[in-house]
Amino acid sequence: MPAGLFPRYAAALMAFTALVVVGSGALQLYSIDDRVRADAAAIQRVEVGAAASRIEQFVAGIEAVLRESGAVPWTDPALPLQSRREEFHRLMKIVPAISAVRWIDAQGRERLYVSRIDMDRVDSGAEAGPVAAQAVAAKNGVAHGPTYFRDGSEPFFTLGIADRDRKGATLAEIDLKFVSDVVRGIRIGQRGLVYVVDGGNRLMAHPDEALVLRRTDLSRYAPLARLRSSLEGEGRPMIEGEGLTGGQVMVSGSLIAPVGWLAIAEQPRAEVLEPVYAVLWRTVFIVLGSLMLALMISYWLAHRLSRPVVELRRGAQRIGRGDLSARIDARTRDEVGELALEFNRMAGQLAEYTTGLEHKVAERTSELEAAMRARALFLAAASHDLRQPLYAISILADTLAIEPLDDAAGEVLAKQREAIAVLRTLFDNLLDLSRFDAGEVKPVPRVVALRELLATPALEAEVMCHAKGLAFHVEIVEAWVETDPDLVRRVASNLLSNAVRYTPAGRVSFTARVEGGYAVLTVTDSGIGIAEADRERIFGEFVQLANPGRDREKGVGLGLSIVKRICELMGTPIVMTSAPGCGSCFSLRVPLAPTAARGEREAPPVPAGSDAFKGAHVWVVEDDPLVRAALSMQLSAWGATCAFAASMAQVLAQREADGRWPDAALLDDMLGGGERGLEIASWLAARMPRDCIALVTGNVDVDRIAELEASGLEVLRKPLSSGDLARCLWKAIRAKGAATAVRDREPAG
Amino acid sequence: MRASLRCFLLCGLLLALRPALAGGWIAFVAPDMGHTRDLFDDLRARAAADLKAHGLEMRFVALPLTDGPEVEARLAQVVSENPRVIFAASSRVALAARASTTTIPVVFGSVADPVRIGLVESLARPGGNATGFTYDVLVEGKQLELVAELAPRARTIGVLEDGHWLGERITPGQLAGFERQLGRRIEVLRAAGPDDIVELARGARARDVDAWFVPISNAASERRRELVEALNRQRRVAVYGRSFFVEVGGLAAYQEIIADPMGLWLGILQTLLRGTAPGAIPVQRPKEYELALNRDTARRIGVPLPPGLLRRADRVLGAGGS
Repeated sequence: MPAGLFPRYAAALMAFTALVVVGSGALQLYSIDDRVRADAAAIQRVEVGAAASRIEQFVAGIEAVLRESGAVPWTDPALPLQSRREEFHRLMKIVPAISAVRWIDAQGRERLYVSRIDMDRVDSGAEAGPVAAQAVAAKNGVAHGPTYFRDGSEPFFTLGIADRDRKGATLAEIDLKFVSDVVRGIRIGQRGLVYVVDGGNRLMAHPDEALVLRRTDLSRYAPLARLRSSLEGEGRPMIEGEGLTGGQVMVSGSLIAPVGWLAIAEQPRAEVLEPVYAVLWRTVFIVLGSLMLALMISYWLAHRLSRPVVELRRGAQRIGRGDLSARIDARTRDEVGELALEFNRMAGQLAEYTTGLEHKVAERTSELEAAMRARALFLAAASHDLRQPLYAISILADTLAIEPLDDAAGEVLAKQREAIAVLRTLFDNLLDLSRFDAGEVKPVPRVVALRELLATPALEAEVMCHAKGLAFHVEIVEAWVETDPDLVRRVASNLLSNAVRYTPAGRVSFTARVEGGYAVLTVTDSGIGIAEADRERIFGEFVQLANPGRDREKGVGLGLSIVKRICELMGTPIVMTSAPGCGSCFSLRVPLAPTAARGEREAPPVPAGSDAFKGAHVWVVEDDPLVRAALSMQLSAWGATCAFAASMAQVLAQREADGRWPDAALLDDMLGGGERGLEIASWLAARMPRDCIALVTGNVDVDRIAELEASGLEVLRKPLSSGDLARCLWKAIRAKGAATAVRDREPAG
Repeated sequence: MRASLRCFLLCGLLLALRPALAGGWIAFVAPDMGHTRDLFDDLRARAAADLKAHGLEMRFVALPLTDGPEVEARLAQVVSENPRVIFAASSRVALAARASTTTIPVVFGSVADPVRIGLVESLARPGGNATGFTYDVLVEGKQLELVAELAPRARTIGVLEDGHWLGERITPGQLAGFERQLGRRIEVLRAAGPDDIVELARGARARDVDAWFVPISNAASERRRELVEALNRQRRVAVYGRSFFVEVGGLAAYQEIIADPMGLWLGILQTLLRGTAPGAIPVQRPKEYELALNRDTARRIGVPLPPGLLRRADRVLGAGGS
């Protein structure tokens, strides 16, 4: 099913707008993400730098105090050692982080030791360690000793400040738990913190002092190595990793240069990226909102774009279905609107043309009907006028045939009868074709024995084959069929006669076999065959193959036309196989009769020959003197008596004269004086067995034929053959005999 | 799908009920004295949010003041009630608690060295089930130095100790070192208890003492006013181990300071409730110290305060000071 215009427009527009909106949103997010991360890194860097500065200032503050103290000329005799002791106590009072202070002389020996914990010592002479010497040697007079853990847990470091006269140095033991107090007061964002590690990656200060007291070693802490690298210029200023106490964090650092420590800021990743997430969600919502809006607009736009085309299509469909009144509502003023207007104009013209065409068709149909009626009238008139003499000629020839004649006369009579037969055949065929074309012929199926149905055509074919020296094979199974026997006989006769005519030598075969629910009738010959090109043509009127001279021995060329029409009427196809020089095979199917319907037999054979109807009295209602004479002679030859009438009055008079009803009544439908045989027949049918009455007509008018057949009486067509006449009489006599038997069986009175 | 939904709902229910389901209690074990009750109230108030979050309650468990087997019996009873944490207000209590349980965390506040008395393996990594803070920085030498500075002519310095104060005793080795450094004789007088310490200060042996050092102990704390009065009456220099003696009239005191001991305990409690083992929580020590002087007492008992001492004192009470 093809995709509609609207879905395609809508999909294309939506896809494009979605791509634009989502793409721009993604680009924005990417740029924002980068920017926010950079901003967060910068902020964290500033904050950790500030923390490092505070720690630097913490240490620098102690340095300044010590330096100020060291500036006093303590070696002056005016200043006893006690005064320096008190000075050291003062230093410890103003700098709580100083746990102990020592004065180391130029020889590196301890001269004074003042502590918060231990007893003061004077001139203990203890070795001072290298820091004092380092301080004295340092250009700025400051030395920072390594950090250490007192009593295994508490972080300290030694700060050495050279005396101003460089004749000694003051060493202060700094309790780094006070640095933890400093970092504890520093907040990075909401949940970030700062801690300090020394040059050996040992934790020196942390808001959670327990981590420091545990002497936590961060040498294997992965972010620390990357952080040191980044501070040396390689890598990002803010790195991501796992925090000291777990969780994903963002880490930055700042060197505390004088002491070689590293201040590290650690902030939960979620908090750092919170602005990113906020912008992300905001952007997502904006993108989604924009996307929804864009999709709605795309939908509306697609609808607007496709609607005129859809209207065009609907209009075209309506017109295609025959509604030429359909018009397209062209609301747009663009090319589609113009197309719609043109479409409407075209539809109008089409409607006008169709209307005109219909009028012309009606006219032509009327003319054709008139012509058909004229033809029918012509055929009706012509058939009656032509049939009457031919009827008479045929009867007379038949009558003459039963008289003893000499050879010459007999030959003449044979030729005459042959000519009459050809003429009758031609006439019958032409009229039959006319009747078929007029739809006058209706199949009247009844149950009949197959052998009896096909006996006559088989016999006739056998005779013809014998006369021509052809072998004839017939095989007809015992079966009952339900069909119109007259039509089937006609088909069989035509096929067999054609087979004989077009088989110069060889054989003709006629078989009837049961296949499935049908009886298959097959006529096969070893004749000249039919070429592929002629297979359709041979069913045409007056078409004869291999008979350029129109030899009437080969018929008149109407047989297969009639076969075709009969088969079409019965709804059974005619199957043909043939090849030039290989003969032909024609077959058709006739439905078998239901089992229950079988048993109805066709009437017993009609008697033939002279005195066939001896003693039968026949009334003939006929106004044509030739026909009267012919019938009189035929009936007399059969031993029957007849009386003639030409009107109702004469029939009544004949009844009066005979004193009884006849054995049979034969009435011509078209009588002189405006009378019709049907009325007289209907009157007779009320008084004698209906089967004893037969109507004879040469009329081809469909309505008239229907009226005659509706009477329920036997209707015979002119020209009436002696065989038809015989069957009619035989039927009448049998019917009268049955009626007599019933009458005899009925109780008298 | 249904099974997953049920499991999800059950987990949510358990999470919501975790506080209620957690339940339990925390024992604050201490001699029933005014200042211990104050500490208990302070800790409980500051831990209220954490207690509520975990569905815990904190109860004060009073101990007799005597140092007898009833302490162990009481701790055993406490342990049998399965508290989540035991706060031991002294090393004596902490030791008794550790004797009763090796699984329930014991958080102590010790004056003595917890390593020396066997509470922990080391200050940095305590091991076991005990942790806390200690005042043990061995400032006794500094305190005795202060006595010598205030009483330069004193030949014998008397040290009033509480015999029941487990671990809070200056060892003979330390005493010998102090004597050597100060050039003074140090006489240790051990009281049997609070009632005995004042009598000891007034007793016959006290007559040979030129100046006093009173380290912190239960007995001295319990009878601080009487003790201070008794020693002031002797018009002798007395240096105390806690500033609150100076507040009630003592001449001088030098002490290590843990500014916020209940804050330390609160931090330890929070760490324990987060699931950290007590043995992994380092023992904390003081980093600040305080020298307190009482000028009124000095004037009353006729002891001049050296100017240097006045300058470096952290607190000076009396005569307009605080």
